[in-house]
Amino acid sequence: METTFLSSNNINLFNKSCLDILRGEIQSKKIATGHKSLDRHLGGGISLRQITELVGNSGTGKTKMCLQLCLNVQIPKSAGGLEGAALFIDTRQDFHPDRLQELARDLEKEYKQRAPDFQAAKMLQNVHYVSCPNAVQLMATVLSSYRHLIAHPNIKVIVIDSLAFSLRMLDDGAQRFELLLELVESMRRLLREHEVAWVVTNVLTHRCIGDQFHVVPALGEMYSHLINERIWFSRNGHCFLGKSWKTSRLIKDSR
Amino acid sequence: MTNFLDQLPKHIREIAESVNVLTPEAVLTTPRIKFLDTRTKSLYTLVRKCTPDDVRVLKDAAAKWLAETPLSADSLFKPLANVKWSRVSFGCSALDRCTGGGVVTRGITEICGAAGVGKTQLLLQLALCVQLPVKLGGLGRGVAYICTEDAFPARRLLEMSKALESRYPQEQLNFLGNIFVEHQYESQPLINCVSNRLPRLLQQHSIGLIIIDSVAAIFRLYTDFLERARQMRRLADALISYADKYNCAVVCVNQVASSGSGLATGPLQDEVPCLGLQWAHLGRTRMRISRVPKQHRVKDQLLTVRKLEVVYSPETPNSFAEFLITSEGVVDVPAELPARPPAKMRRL
Repeated sequence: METTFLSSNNINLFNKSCLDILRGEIQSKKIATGHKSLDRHLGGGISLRQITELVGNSGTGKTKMCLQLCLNVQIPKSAGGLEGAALFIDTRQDFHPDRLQELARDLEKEYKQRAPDFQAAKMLQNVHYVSCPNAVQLMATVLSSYRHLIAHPNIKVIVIDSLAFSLRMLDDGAQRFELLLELVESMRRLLREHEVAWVVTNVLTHRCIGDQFHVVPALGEMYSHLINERIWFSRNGHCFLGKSWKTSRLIKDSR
Repeated sequence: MTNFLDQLPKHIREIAESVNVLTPEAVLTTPRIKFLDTRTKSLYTLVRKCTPDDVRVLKDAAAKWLAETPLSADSLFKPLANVKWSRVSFGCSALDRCTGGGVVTRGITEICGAAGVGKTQLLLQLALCVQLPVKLGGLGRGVAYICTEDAFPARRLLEMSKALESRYPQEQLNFLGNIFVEHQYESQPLINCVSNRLPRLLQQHSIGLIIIDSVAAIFRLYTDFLERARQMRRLADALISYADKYNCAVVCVNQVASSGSGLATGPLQDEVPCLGLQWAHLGRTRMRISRVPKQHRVKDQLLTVRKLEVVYSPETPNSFAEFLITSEGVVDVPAELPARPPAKMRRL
């Protein structure tokens, strides 16, 4: 991390204008999600240097979207993609290599004309997988993920599926909160140093607000402020984009 | 293997020792504030300051000690890693086709359905099929069956095991001797049993399937939802860790309750599985058994056709299969035979 000296001579704040940042954003590639309307609303797909959260109940397609992102990040530059690799951190053992292979074959067929040597076998080699059965392993993996990024600098997306599962297994609520904040801080530190995207999965739970039970994303209010983008998945295949239910916008499924 | 603390630089080791946090696991799960908190320290230790950067170095060292290196996805296809994705066949080809081969040996598989629809019958069949050798779809291992509602249906199991023996006479297996049954009717004794006695059983005998029949009965009586959620998590945590460590399948049985909402589009949608969202997230696969308004005649008996539907599963698409429950156990629905000979032959 660069150290900044706060002497009046070399303050290097305020030397980037909004136009520079906009130019940078337009040029940077996004990871396509495969869902056309969602990509349009997100401005191309999942952005790098951001934490995107996929939230929804079981069986709504979050893991499928995570697998799809791991493959879409590998689309060659000639076809408009990022040509990167992916790291999949699995806490629920929901990952199944057969399913990934099926999705890879479909993607290969789709890109046959535009990029003929985009092979399914090579796609599988570029997806790195690590299994974290409990919260301690998850902390260890996330805190040392920078080491893996230095060894494989073409990793452009890191998926944690699912963040809520390991943390909710901890009994002590205060410890859970602290560890979540430490995890997110470590993720953000990584975003500053490397150009990757974090994709995290979350579930819905009941929370007692006032005297009524509301269905909200798990892991708390504070955590909602720390992520950048939130995509909701519902059972009938629709996606919603937005941080809270009231401010979310329905993205109709159009393939 | 050197001790984790010995390989740290001295002043960082002192930080860990002063809060009595000695293993790398404890370092990672202790909140940072505990290292930096000066309220409980004596004046001597306050003289040496502990900065957040030091704590970060400590946690980083612990993470490096514990972290595994990621593998690439295609190395997961190799046979050594493939054993983790083995399956237990149901003994019925339609069900195996629908679930992609049977019950997978990872995570908790939940089977839900109304009362009397055939869940226990299916479990008994699974308990027998898991003992078959691998080439016939089983795992060649025993069963731990925890019963929470009625008495264990031993006589029905005997009947079904005889049918299975006649199907595979060359495997001389003592089916009933490899099923270990336990009765627990309350949640705290159940969690004690699962946390203490079950691991001992798993170490002494080779067990391929853990069944809890049923989970809903245990947790339905709770009024304090937070406590219920905590107990469910503890139970699920223990079961998932056994599934991972011993590579066995875990099946939990759930019941359904009517949701009472007016938006139901039919009797099936009106019934939702019990135990709410908390339990739904802990399970990995959910299958639902229901009755179909069709009947089938088998040897002068009119049997109702049952349907197994995969509600969500990470591996298979949502499909369903129909089956019958006969005296032999769970079987496919036989194909309909034509009732009359074709018209051409009748003219002769």
